[in-house]
Amino acid sequence: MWDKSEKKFEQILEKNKHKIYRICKIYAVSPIEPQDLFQEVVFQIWKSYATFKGNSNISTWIYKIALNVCLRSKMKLEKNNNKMIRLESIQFLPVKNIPEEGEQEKYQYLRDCISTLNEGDKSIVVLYLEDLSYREIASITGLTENHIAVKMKRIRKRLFECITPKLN
Amino acid sequence: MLEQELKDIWKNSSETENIKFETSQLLKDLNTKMDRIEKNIRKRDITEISASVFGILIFGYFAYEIPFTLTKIACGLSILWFGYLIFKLRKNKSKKHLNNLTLTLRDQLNNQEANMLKEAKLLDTVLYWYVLPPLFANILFIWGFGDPVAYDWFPFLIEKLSNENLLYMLPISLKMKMVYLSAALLFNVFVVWINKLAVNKTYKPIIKDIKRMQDQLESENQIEI
Repeated sequence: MWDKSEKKFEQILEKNKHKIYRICKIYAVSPIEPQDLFQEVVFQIWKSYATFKGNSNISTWIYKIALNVCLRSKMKLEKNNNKMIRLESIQFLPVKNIPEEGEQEKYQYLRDCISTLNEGDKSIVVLYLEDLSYREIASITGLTENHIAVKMKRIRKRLFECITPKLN
Repeated sequence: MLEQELKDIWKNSSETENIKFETSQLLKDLNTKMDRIEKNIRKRDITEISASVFGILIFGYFAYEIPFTLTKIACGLSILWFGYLIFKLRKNKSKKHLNNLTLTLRDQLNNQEANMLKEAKLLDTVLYWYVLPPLFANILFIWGFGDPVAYDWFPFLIEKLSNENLLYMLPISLKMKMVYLSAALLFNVFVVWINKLAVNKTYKPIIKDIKRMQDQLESENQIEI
């Protein structure tokens, strides 16, 4: 039986917050900030939490919600996009050990290369970078494993071609 | 090698911010937001129904007060239309796919496409269910409005306001009938135009985006952005 206590919910958020935030950073388009998207994802997770049956992996379930929220925001399907409410209880503080400039630069290259992909490929590549198996990516996107494998072969090639000269 | 390096770059990217939850307050905040959204939905539903109920009451009163046969029929038709409006909007809402964000991307896109097509169709056909029926009733109402003196009738509201000049504002003369008919016609042309504009400017681009996203997801080949 899946534990649906509030404590469990908080533990799930704590464990998955960085995964959610990484996806939000890719999809946030001005004037929507990654923080706004993150809060919306947290809210949607809470809203759907009662319906989670525990049949699937909780991370996979969270990825589905995060991607769906981000895509809806991108396609301007949310009528209240401009008035996303900031929850005071979620704070984004700067870290003490800021990553080296080189690391940040590499991330910027990766981000630039991801942005050259179309939306369909982008949603697959972020899941691939999260180290999910093709089976998990298939269960999130609704495509077959074979389909994902074929697409990934092409996306990987394109991504490598874009980033290799930049990293070198 | 490059593959692992990219995954490491990706995973380290979230290390730039420290995300903190104030656990004691978080659930309270989330519940407050949920309540606010539900309250807004309820408020919108109540406003929608209240507007139609108000229309039913007004035309019910007119049907009772005004003695002219054609105008009475027009009031009856208007009441029927207001009832139909409540039914139509409720039915359209109930037929919409629920916004379930735990579905797969593909299912979510399919649901969104179906919802958007339904909304666009509703607005695109506004002429047939929102404009023509009440316009017909309006024409009948205005055209059927006769001379109160001939029916020995004095409108209650005008009597109450003790302002006989208001009598000249009623669609009794041909000139006033034409003024009211033109106004009704212009208003309804505007309603059709504004809805067509919403379909073309808002719904069609979103439907196009959804379709493109579906193609991009399904296709095994690269589809350019």
